[in-house]
Amino acid sequence: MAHIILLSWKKLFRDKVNTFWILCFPIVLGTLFNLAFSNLAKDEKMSPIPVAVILEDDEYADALEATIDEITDSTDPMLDPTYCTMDEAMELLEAKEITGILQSGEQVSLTISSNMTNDTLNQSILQAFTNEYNMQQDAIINILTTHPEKIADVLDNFETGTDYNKTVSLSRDDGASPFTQYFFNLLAMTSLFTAVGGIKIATENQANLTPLGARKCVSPTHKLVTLVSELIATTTYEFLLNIIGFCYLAYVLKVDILSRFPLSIFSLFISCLTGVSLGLFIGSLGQKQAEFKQGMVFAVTMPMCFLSGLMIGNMRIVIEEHCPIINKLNPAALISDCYYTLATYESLDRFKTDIITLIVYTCIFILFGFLVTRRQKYASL
Amino acid sequence: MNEPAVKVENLVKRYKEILAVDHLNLEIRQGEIFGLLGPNGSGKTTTINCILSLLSYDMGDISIFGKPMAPNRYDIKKDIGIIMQNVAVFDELTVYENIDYFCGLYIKDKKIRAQYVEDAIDFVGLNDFRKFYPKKLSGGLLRRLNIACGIAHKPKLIILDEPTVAVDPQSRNSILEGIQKLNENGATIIYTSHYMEEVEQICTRIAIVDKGKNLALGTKDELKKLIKKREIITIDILDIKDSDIAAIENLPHVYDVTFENHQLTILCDGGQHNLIRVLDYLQSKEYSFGHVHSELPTLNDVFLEITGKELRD
Amino acid sequence: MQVYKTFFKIAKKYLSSCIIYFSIFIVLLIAMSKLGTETTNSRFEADTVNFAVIDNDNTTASEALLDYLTGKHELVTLDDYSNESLQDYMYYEKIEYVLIIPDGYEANLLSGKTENIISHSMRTDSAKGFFFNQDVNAYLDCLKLYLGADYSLSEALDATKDTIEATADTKPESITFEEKNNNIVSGMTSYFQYMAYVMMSGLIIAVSPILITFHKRNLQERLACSSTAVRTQSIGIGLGCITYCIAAWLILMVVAMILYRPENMFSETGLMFILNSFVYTICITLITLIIGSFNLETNALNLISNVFGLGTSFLCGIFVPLWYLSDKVLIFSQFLPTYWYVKNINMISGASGEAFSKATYWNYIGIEAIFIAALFAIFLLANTQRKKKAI
Repeated sequence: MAHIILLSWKKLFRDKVNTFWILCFPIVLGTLFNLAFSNLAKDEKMSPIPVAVILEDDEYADALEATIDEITDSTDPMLDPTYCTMDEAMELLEAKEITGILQSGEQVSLTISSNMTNDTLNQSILQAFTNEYNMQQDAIINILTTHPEKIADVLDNFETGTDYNKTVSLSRDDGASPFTQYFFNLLAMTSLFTAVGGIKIATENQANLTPLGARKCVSPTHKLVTLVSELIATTTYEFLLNIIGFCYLAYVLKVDILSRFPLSIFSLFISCLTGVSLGLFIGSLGQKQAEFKQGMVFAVTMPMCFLSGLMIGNMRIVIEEHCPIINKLNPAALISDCYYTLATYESLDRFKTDIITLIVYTCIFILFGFLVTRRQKYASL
Repeated sequence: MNEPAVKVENLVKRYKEILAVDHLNLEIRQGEIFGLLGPNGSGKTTTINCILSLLSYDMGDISIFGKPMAPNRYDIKKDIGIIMQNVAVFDELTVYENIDYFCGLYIKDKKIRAQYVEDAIDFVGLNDFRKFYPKKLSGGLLRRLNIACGIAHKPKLIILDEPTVAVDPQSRNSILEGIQKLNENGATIIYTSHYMEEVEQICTRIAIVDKGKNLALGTKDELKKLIKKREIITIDILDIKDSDIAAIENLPHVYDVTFENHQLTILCDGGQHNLIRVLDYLQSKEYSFGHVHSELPTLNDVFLEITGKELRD
Repeated sequence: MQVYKTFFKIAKKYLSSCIIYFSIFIVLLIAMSKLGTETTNSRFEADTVNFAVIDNDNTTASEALLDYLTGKHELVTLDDYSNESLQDYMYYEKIEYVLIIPDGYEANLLSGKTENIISHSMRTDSAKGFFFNQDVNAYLDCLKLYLGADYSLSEALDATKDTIEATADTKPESITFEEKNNNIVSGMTSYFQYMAYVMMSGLIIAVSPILITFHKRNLQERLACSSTAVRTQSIGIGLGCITYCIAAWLILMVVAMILYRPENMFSETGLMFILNSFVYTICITLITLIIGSFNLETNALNLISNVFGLGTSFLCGIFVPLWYLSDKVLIFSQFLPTYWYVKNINMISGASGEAFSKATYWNYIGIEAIFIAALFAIFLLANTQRKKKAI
């Protein structure tokens, strides 16, 4: 058994092309993800929102102008105002050069364009700004009429701008970026791709698929012995390659997966095992060539990863709404959920459920693989 | 010890409509080199795979060294070495490691295995190539590696399924010599081929199969005796009268005479001194003739007559 | 011509796996374009937020705050307020925001210790929480103004309530300008956008096995010995590949017709989308051909197609909108045809804020055409080069 494992490792290690690409896969994609999200993940330094300001000829105009000037003068201005007439403002809005029009009055009014669908964030910020401005203006006017003597104090207070509302994190780990999810899914995909190794085990042990399989079949070594040895060899080898990818994500890209290192590595191992056994399962199905089955690995894992949110981030939430069972069964979702729960939850209940489901999958796959390859007589070769 | 090495009784194997093996009977004695001769698609490989229990079969009994063969008879499998038609080695392993791998499936003891692997490398003459990867080997060397992988564990029964396909004559000779050496060391050998010369050269007994049937079985002399044609005499002659042809046909043992392109062909079915009798007759009629040639039948002729077709298609 | 014909004979052998790939990718594409439109549209709207409250103060002041927030947002009452279950509720978007009012809120309010008077937790991947914070801030700012003016607590609360009511009807006015490209059916843009990913991953994975067969050493040598010139062979393979890819593209177009109705597809914008995707298909075909020229194993190819497909999709604005990417990344992305394809789609649909113009459209198509020329040159070069070397 040790002999077979040793030689299997040699085989795997010498398959340079595959080794290289399996290694490359998480590193290259991780780097690209990191590039794509780098801008999103860092504290969004918002560029000033272009806005047209129309000052009507009334007493409210001065207050608005003063406020806007004050905002504009700060080091990190929120607004980029253009003072103009209504007609000019409308033209600017149609040309999409401004996000909205602010018009002074007893209540400042905001006009936005519904054509600018990608600008909803800025539109919403403007709306919040207008709302707060109006409330304060209303309050100050009220105070002026009822307690005019206090207005100086009030205006002093008004400028301080207090942080009322502290952000606390419910999760174990404060700084978790929402994009970490993508990396979890990337890890899930890489571990599922180890299935290709499983395919090789399956095809090399079946006499009707390869001459090598036939040769093994006529030897006096029991099928289970070869199969288990190769399973161990492949899983450990792919696990090792995955650890390198994992470490790259953790230490070089600083993805937040280190908080519970031993458990994360354990998840990585279980997911590799699931991947390899999935390959064994696919490889045991039907009489097609190894190449075809390798293709099938990708055809099967891609949708899994899609459903767990590799391409569209909140996929899993959409599924949770419509068909939550998929999240409980999809191996890719389970794997990325392992990392997620480790990073988020103090308790390990959900993590355990995920891991147990994965182990159940592994057992089913391996059992099936054994049952099929155990057969040593074939109807045709 | 007198148990036959392999005994196949009434073997039937069907692939849907095609009858690949048709009530085949074989008995291979221990210590012989047994040739399984047949054209492509005659059921040789299928028979081998059935013997090895790789294929399921519809009917029949197979026993090896007196014990019924089954997929889980590891005690029997231990004594069998198989060299497949297709080269079955790992591309990622070197020559040495490949042999070691397959030997390891049979021999668990490390020391013995190391010795056996060395022996196998010596045996096929791959000493200079032990660190090579299969992709770097020429076709002939690759075949030799394939053989080494099959025989490294010193099996008592070695089955070679067309081991010389696409191999240059030199490699082929060394392979054939090797097989004889294995036999001398006490192994029983089953050798399938559609190369007549090889079978004729090394096999002690031969079975001719076609369409899954065992058409003839025996030593090569026995086989040759099976057929009517015993001697072919060709004589270059300018012209000959039809009456003389008829007369030659009436000579003892002669059963067919043809004359074409100034060449007289006479087929005889045994007897001795056929050539002298023919030449005497021609001289008595004062014919002058040139080149005279007489040959004894080959296995090819045997085959041709039994199966009605050329061996190589 | 002979090589061209052979291409399809080999293609036929791989038909079954191709059909599987295509059906999977088409299903993915449809799912993506359906979901993609849903999610991007709802992402930054400042609409109501589902929130939960842990009120440890239970005073008039805290109730007033809740009153105000319930008026604007949806208060969700939960069975379990433990940390774990709050996380779960948050994760599955049952709630997006948890407001924690600590004991002593009212007292602190009166004594003016308003810094961090309350705390909250929210989902970090949506801007909804941000707007909820804005609302809380606006309320507390206003309340503080009144309290600062020596209003009593109840007076201040009432006054704040009045102010809120007074300003409640200032909803922003939304104007819709008439645009030339108003024939876009929702989903169609997403369909064409995600199609880039599907084409990239799908074509590489489906066509490469055919190309590999051609490049297998034995066949390669035999072809090299034949009287057909290397270039003719390359062109034969190239043409076969292009025909194949165009057929795949046609299938995707038919699917689009079914999903979005022919009249929308044949509208001016529809045709612009179609031409854009056609030009892009040719680009992808050439990339496939170049990747296929390297004598790689199936497994390596599958991984490459994934790296390539997913990687470029993230860098070129398919899965993450272009305007969220940093400038440095964009400089790199410009060297990929996908970038221009997506940019063009964004421009046509008006999603990027870039004003619609036909000249820009043709500019982008032109850039894609330059990519085609460059890729074609690389393909020919790679082929002749390799053949000289291999034998």
